[in-house]
Amino acid sequence: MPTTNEPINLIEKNQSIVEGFYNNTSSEVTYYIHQGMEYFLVIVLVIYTIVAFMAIKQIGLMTRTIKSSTNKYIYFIGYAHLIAVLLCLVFAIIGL
Amino acid sequence: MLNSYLEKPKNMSFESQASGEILYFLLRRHPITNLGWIISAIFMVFLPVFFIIAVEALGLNTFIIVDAGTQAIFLILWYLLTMFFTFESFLNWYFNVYIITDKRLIDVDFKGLWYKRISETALSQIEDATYATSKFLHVLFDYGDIFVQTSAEKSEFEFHSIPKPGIVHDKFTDLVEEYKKKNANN
Repeated sequence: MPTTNEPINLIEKNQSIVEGFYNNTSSEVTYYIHQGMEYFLVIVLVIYTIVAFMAIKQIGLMTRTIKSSTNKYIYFIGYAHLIAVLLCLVFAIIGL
Repeated sequence: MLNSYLEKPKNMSFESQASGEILYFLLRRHPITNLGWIISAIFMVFLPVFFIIAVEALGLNTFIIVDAGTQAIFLILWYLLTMFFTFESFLNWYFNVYIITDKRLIDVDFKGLWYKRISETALSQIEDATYATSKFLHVLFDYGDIFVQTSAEKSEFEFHSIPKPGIVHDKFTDLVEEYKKKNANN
């Protein structure tokens, strides 16, 4: 029955071509979205690092305004915050 | 560190403190006023978990829509936002202080990491001080607002949500009277 099988094979072949096209397109789109997101994350982290650094500067100014024995804990929180952001930035850059 | 009512605090001073100037009160908003942002921060921490539970309950496979790497990036961004919100809210509470000395009244405003405003008035310029407790939580946790009328350019100083407003008001008015008497005698 070669004559009846042939059109079926052709349809299956065409279907696989169409599916393959869509799969490739969607994986490409996913790849570009992922890459875009990674760059976006790095940009956000760079901005955030600057903000975290400025926050420490501001803590410095404020602890000069109000001098207290507990100010060292505030500095600790500020530096822990900056280190956490820097670690995220380093891992994000490595992941690029 | 988390004290909001400090009477004659030791190991504490401020930038423009004159020699011999005695620091009587250093006040912050009552810690209970932080409850709002603390609950929000806890909710923000657990929100992705609730989201995952909801998605699983609906039987959706999110990895088909968004790949695992991108989901991880979203998660990192979300927790960064949570961390920033918590840090900023804490600093806003910690650095917003009201200082009462034997010579003046200082209001330090700190908002959103960048904004800083310091207003002060001499005790001689103070005309009237009133305090108010108007909410259920004010009565329950003993905190309220103090309004100070002055003859200076900034006519009113407002101390919001400070602990023990009755005691602070009483001691503050005594301090003003004492200061004015001293000045009159001189």
